[in-house]
Amino acid sequence: MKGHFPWHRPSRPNRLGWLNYIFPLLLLFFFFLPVLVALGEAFLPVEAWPGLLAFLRSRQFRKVLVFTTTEAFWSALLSLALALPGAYFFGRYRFPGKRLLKSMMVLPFMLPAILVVLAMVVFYGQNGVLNSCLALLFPGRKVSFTGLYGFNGIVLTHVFYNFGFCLRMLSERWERISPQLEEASAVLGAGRLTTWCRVILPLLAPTIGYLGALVFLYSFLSFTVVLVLGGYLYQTFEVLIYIEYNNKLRFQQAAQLAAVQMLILAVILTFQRWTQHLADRPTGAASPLPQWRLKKQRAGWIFFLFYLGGSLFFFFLPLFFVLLRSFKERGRPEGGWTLANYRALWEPAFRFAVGTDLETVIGTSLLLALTVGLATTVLAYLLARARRGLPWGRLDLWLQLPMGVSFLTFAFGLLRLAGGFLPPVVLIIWAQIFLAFPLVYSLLRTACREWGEELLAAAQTLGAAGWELFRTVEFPLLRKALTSAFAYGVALSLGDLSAVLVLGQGKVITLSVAVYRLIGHYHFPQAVALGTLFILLAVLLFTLVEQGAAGEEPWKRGEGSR
Amino acid sequence: MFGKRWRLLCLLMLAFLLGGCYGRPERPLTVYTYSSFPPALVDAVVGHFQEEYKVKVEFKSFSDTGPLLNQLAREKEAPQADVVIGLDNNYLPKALALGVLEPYKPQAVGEIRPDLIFDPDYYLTPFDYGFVVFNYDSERLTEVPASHRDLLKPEYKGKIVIENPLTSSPGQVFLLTTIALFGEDGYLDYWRALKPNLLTITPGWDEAYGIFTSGEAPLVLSYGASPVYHLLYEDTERYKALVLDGGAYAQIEGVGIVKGTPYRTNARRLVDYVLSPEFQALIPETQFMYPVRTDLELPASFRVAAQAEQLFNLPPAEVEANLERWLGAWEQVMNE
Repeated sequence: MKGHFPWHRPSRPNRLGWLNYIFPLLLLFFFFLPVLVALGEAFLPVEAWPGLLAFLRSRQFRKVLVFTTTEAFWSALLSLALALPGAYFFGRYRFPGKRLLKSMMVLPFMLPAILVVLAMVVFYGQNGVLNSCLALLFPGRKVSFTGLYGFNGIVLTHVFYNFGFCLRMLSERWERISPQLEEASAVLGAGRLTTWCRVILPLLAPTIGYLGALVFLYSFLSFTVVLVLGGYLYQTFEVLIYIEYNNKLRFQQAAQLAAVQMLILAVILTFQRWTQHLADRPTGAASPLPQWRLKKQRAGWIFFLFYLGGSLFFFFLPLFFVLLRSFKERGRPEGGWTLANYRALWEPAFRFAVGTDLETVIGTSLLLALTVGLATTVLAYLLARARRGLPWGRLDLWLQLPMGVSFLTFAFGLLRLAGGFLPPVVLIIWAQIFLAFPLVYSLLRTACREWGEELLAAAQTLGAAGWELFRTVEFPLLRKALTSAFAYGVALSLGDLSAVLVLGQGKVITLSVAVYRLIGHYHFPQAVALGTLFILLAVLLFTLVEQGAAGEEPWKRGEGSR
Repeated sequence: MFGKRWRLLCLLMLAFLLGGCYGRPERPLTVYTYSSFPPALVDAVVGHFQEEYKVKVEFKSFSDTGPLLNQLAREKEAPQADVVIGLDNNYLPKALALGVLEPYKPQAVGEIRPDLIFDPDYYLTPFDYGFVVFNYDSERLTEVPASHRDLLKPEYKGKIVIENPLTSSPGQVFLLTTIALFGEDGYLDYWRALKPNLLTITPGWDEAYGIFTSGEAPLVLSYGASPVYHLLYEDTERYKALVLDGGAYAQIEGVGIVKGTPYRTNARRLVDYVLSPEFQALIPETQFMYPVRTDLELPASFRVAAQAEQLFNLPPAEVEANLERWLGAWEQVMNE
């Protein structure tokens, strides 16, 4: 490294080729071995092939393909379209409550699917809150929302899931685009629209493309939501895979379906790679965000309040209403207020239903989530750092592929591969790292790439190295990206149920498992109470993480003078 | 530099992984079950064996019966389990075809309600059973149906929630109920007529029952003992079980011994314990199913549970031979 001058940007920044290539290959090996084990069974026997061809020609295949792609397309489009205006406000201004709102945005992501479905039913259902509101607003006339059970309801729920997360990711990106670019554009005589189209949008485009692909994939792989709201009319590939695995016990067919699904999603990811190509643009150095001034920007303020009110109404109230029931006697909306459902979490009935006490459940969940968050962030960071000088390439694409793999297939493959000799906890951590890695890696990859080689090289020239270099130069610069990546890793681990159920052998009981077990014992109000605790815990955790991220940003010192 | 630390980290991780696989002692008496098996019953078995025989028992649970059976098939050459609890009557033919069980006629056979014994060779012995029936919300439903035909009336449009026969066991039992009642020629017409009355079909019981108790639909496919929970924990009889057409299809859960177990004596003791009055008495208010022994008195709370004199059950062999075809035809009709 010593031979490099700060201004000389080397094409191969890292001489440790093994960190650059062997390490990612090792990761790929660990990620894809279980998948290969599962798929091997599908394609090795020759007699498996005709069945697959028949399926590809069937009406069912076309139907599922058309439905899944349309549903995923609309979910992605609407999530992004709704998130974009908000991202502007969150990315451009500071205002009170921002940190809390940002913490809340990842919540739907980690909630057990059943709570999300119940929230939708309680709010948008036939006898839901929305319809009561409509009845109050238009007395006498029969105005009601009846679209929850069907295509619209599925898309609505997917948007509910992903909207906040898109808003958060987009605003984080926007924060890193220097306002000076806009000022410069204005000085040069460009109008607002021109500036937006030619300066801001191209800088946001890679993130938009990435998020679009991500929401598309998540909706494509959706399971519970599609089954509950779609009834018998709609099926995704993931539903078919589940049925083959669980009920028909035809593992070969299940693996074949998984392979078909993987191929389709690989095409989507290739598209996403193409958008990532555009990511190599300088965004200018980030600078402090201006405090929002009420007087100067009245129109913007009013628009923002409407926007915030609308999103809170449609996307936060459903959650709020279902959680409210945990404070009601027997969970009934008409019942009196009570804390009995919370007290019940510490009573023997909890252990009776769940199998262990509350402290153990929370401890297990937190420990697991923090381990997975940390491990994924460290792995992704090391790799992103090693490859910081390289453009987004084929290898990076391969590392995104876990997103396109049916998680069920992965979990079953892993169980078969290592279930005999690895303890359940290790298996779960392995699976959850697989789950979280693509998102965390892509975040850190972009961040590392942005800060570029020059600063690091400069610091090295000045004598910083190793841990000191990380502590004094890299960490302060990447603090935001690292903490954010860590938070997403934690959130994905907290929200995972499949890995724990398939790999845990009933020995590992996390919060989501406990919620399901409570429901299985008809303790719905307590399950919702536990869900509420879960949310409070998560908000607390993420606010702390945000606090850490906001700690001392290197450019903050000059703030007072502005 | 960074490289050294990195290599150290790798070594540590490797050591951790190896540590996990190394030096496992002889395995304890192992029971496979599904993940919703009540912890209280697990404790009872573990406690009993510790006290009585100083034998350690380990339970391993699977996300569902399908994966459990698959695991047994996979380990056929070198069994890692000794007893399996929770394979129900509809899984018997599959288990027999895979050859993963060995027969054992327990001592308490004489005490079991005779029409529950679904396997005359005792590869699986029933230990509890329940009825899959509709439950209704008496505060939201005025006209209570009396037969399965009644459910087709237009007044129930959009008021019924059921589980998917393809993904859930109560859903599958309901499909079998309609076949038992209306025959192979009639069941599809029944479903065609039922379709408009269904609000939705959920993947599992949890979602269906959640939608039901949140007041969205007044009729749900659930279990005969569901009202017992509401009586015990909420002190209400608002939710009631419905016995339509004077009978019900029973889901009968069995216990069996894994073929080739090295611990045959203790495995047999375990089966006998599961059928003992002590364990059977725990079943009603933990598993919310009926015990199979006829000499036990049910707890008072079970007065609100469904009582079906007649069993609609089809012979397991017939179910096994036709289920896939029935499910396929059902799927097609629902997609029409």
